[in-house]
Amino acid sequence: MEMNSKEIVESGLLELYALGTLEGAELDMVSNALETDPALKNELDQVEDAIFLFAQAHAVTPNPTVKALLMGTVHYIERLKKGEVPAQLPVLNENTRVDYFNEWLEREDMQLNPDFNEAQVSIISQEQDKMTAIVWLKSGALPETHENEYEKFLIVEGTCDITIETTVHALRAGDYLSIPLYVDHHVRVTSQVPCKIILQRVKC
Amino acid sequence: MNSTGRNFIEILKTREPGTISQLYDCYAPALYGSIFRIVKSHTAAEQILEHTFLRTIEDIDQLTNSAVLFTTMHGIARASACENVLLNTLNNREISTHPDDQINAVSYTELMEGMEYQCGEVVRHLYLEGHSLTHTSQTLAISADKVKTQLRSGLAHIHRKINGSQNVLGATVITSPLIQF
Repeated sequence: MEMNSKEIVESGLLELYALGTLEGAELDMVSNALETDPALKNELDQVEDAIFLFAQAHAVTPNPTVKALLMGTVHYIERLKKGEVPAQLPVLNENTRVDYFNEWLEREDMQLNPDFNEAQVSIISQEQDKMTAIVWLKSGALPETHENEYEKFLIVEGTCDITIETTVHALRAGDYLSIPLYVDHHVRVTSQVPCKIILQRVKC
Repeated sequence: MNSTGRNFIEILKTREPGTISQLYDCYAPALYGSIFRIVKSHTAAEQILEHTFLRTIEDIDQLTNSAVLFTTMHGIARASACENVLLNTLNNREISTHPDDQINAVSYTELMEGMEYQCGEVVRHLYLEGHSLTHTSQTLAISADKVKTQLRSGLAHIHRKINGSQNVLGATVITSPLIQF
């Protein structure tokens, strides 16, 4: 059914369009009308404004490590685009030594940024079954539980306490710890300097 | 951040880390709240939030000049969250009821105050829980056309409520929030 702009506004189709739930002939009709009618575009702006304001009203601040991981991933993707070959790395275990990672620990583009805030991530390698990264934490990481990946820590610099449920593991340079699935755990940095960690997440 | 957008979008197309960082600070909390409302799990919400930003950055060159960045990102986030819920339902997995995974619903209640009951139900189903138009229509036993007009009324109510009384949420609302490109 063809509608003019006024009918589109009154029908509520613009709201569905803004939410991305419109399909087929209705989507085509609204898209075409928006291209030719600035007033309808203006109306859509109002709807989108409302959606943003509603989302703002329900805003929840994500864990700071999410941003650090995102920025690390963006950097890693750019490196791959420039021709870097993804490294194939072994799964960390209690025998893994920090100096195995010297190639990455000494890289100029994988050092702590001067504007470092709470957490920084430099991804060494993103493979099908695992992700390996250098992570810096200033004060720690919030409690979390993993259901589909094992998290493994190898401490490079500084010290931290990793609490798995109620057991506290005090770690320093060279120490290794693996977090079991389905258990609540968190990290608290205990050194003056940021704790530098080789972090690996292995899919199960 | 340049809210008029054109210069910002040109910079964003360079994928410069500082710009991406600003984009994250501006939009991540609003997107994360929307995602979490649907998936009800912080682990899943964090993964979807990261996916939303990575896909936006990847697709930035292909987005049309008339698009609004937040709405585009919100669409990606919402679709991914709905897909996650669908997969969990198919896999028959339980949704987390951990106390830390619950959001304070005070602002929601305040926003909905004065809204007609059916309007509120439509907003809740379509927007907060990410259901489809058909599902909402069937669940509420009202026609698809009625769902559309109720959604329109509901969003208009929210718009009036937020613009009319910024204090109702106990927070300052950004008045020119959308980045257009």
